[in-house]
Parts: sequence; structure tokens; C-alpha cells
Amino acid sequence: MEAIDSKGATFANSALVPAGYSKTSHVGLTGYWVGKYAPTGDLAPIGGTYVTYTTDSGSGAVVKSTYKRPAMPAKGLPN
Amino acid sequence: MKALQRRTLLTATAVLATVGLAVSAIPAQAAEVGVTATGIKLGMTLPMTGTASLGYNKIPGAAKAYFDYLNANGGINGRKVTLVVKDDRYVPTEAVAKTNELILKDKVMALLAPLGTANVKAVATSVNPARRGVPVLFVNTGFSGFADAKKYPTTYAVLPSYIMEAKIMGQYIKENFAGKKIGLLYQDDDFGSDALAGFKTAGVNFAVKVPYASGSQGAAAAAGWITKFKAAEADVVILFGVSSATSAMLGTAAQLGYKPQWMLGSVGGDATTIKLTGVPAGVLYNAIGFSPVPATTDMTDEYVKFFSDIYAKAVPGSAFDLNVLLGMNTAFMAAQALKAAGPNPTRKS
Repeated sequence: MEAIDSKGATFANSALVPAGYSKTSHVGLTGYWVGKYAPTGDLAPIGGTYVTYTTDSGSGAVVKSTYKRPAMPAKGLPN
Repeated sequence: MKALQRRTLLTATAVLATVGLAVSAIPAQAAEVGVTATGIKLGMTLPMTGTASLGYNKIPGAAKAYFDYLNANGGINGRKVTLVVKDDRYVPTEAVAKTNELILKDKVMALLAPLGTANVKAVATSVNPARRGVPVLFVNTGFSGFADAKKYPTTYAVLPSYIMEAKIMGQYIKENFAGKKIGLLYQDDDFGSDALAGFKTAGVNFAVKVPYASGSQGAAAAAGWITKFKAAEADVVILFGVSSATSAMLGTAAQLGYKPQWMLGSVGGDATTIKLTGVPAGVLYNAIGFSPVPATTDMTDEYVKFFSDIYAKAVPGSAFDLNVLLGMNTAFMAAQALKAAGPNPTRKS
């Protein structure tokens, strides 16, 4: 648990939005991208590009995210 | 008499002190509950059967697929990660019983991705993993309260909260559906109340709000929901429920020819799961959806490619969908937490 508190926000994962773990908060991922379902029924980003939004669980604004996901660790194994 | 009691007490204290010494001497060798020299045991509760199990029952297979890959590649410092899975049928009292089994009988190191807001809440109250020092890693619910490190000190969220999702939906509605009549289907418990709080913050005014009780979702119920949305002349209908509620609604709407602009919450928005129940793909076309992870069909994404390759080998013939991706992603994050916890991981570290 101490590892998540101190390093969890930097854990590599597939999400396109950042995680918010810290010593005082156990908040996970903090946003979404918006998509439309294609004729096949599958969800795809509107316009073909992921536009992500982040916000909080309080009164904070919804803002476009500039988060760049770090590359996947080699072979998908934990560093 | 008093002296005798006092002597007894002193003796008892001395015995306790001796036992205490003996007990405290053990942890030097035995690292932690659920951790041996060769393995780490984790436990999961979720609906594997019952109405609400639709789609979510693929999650254990997905998590195990990643752990098997990890174990074949050295595990966590040589320890293989195993996962004990218990079916709680999405019933809070069963989640409590099964979680007690995981902690007391199976002696897991940590709970991984237990599913359902009401279930995790019931476990927090009745089992109290926090008091026992048991980590509850990456709960499979977006209830905002679980991020509260003071109230749930050993519980960690992973999904964005329902409040966040509702706020982002609200923003989209403001920018794209201004002046339209908005309807909302939501689950009548903490899952739904969190969403309502988010919509309120986002300033969304609903023409109609339709609650459903967990377990009541089905074709007959859906026909009733549609009557209410039609009566309110809703242009946009948001489905903020579990997969089985989304499927019941879209399947019934297809039969009745009811075609509002749909907006699906991520919990019940997995296309593969919905289509598996017989809902035609065309019904989903142009619905608005939300996800924190890449599209599950996006093979240009390195994680989607990596996870789907592993899953295809581990569970042949099973479609790679959002539940699978999230299940594998959670297992991947748990692996990093265990690795970061040091050469001899403990619940605390």
C-alpha cells in the first residue's frame, strides 16, 4: 500500500488519463475520452483521435487533458 | 479475593507477554499472510452468475491471463501470483461472506478488484479490511467515496468516479445537446446517487429520471422505462447502469422501434457484451460512449495489442472487450504495486 501511495500515480497502464494516487488520496483514474459507436457497434473516438477530459469528484472544472501516456514497459512486465 | 484476582491477572499478563514474544519472533521468517517464498495469493469477489454477471464474469479470466503471462516470465521476484475467485452474485451479503472466506480461510494477501459499489461498501462495514490491515486494491466500482483515504484507508480506487463521468457527460451535453430534453436511467443505490451528484454539479436538468432497483432489469422493466422516456419526450437518453440494464433497454427499444439519441455510461457500455445478448449493432450506431482506456478494437495501441494477444492465447474464442481490457489492466497495475513493494512484499508495503 505504501508503494501505491508513493508511486501509484506513475504506474504504467493502458489508460489515456492520469491516476491520482497519493498519501492522502486513493483516487484512481481521473477522466474519460468521448466516443461514438461505429456501425459495427464498437466504440471509437470521435473524429478518429482520442480527446480526453479530466476532472475531480468535487466542484472542479472539466478540462481537456494534455496527459501523454508513458510507453509500455518492456514485454509488459513490471519495472 | 482481590489479591487472588490481581495475582491471576499478573500471571495472565506474564503469559501474554511470553506469547507476544513468541509471536513477534515469527514474522522475521514468515513475511506476510498470503506471501510465501514461491507465491503471492490474491482474492476477488464479483458476480460470476446471476443477472448482473453479464460481461463482468470475464474479468477473472482476463486477470488470470495476465498473471499467467507474468508468472511464465519470472513472476514478482520469482513469486507466482495466484488469484482465488468467489462468486457473490452481486449480492452484498454474499460479498461479505465470500470476502471473509478469502481473508480467513484462503488467507489471501490482498483483495483485488472486488466489484460493485454496494458490495464493497458492505464489505467495508461488515468485514472491515481496514481494521485487519488487508489491502483492497483497485475496486471495480466508480463510487467516488472509495478514494477517501481517511474513511477507507486500505481501499484503492482505479476507475474514474461516477461523479467524474457524469460531469464529463454533462459537459458534452452542454456543448452538443443544448436545449434538448434529457432522460436518465440509473440504478437506485450508491452507484446511481454518485452519478446524480455529478450531473447536479454539471448543471444538467433532466426532463425525466428513471431509477431501477438492482436485479430488476429485464425486457419487461425496459418496456416500462421506455413508456416514461416517451411520455417525457426525451431527445437524449442516458443509460447509467450495469450491462444487463443497457442490454435490456437497447434490445427492447429495438423491438419497439424507439430511437432517441443514446448516451451510455462506461459501466454498461461495452459493445461486445451488449451485442452478445442479441442487440443488433445498428442500435448502438451513433450512441455516445465514454472510456478511460483505449478502444478495444484499436490494435495500433501497444497495450490493446499486447493484452489481446495474451488473452487470445489464454482464453481462445473469447472476444477481447472492455471488461477484459480493464481486468488485465488492473492485474498489470497490481503486479507493479507488488513489485514496487520490495523484495519481500507485505500488506503494508
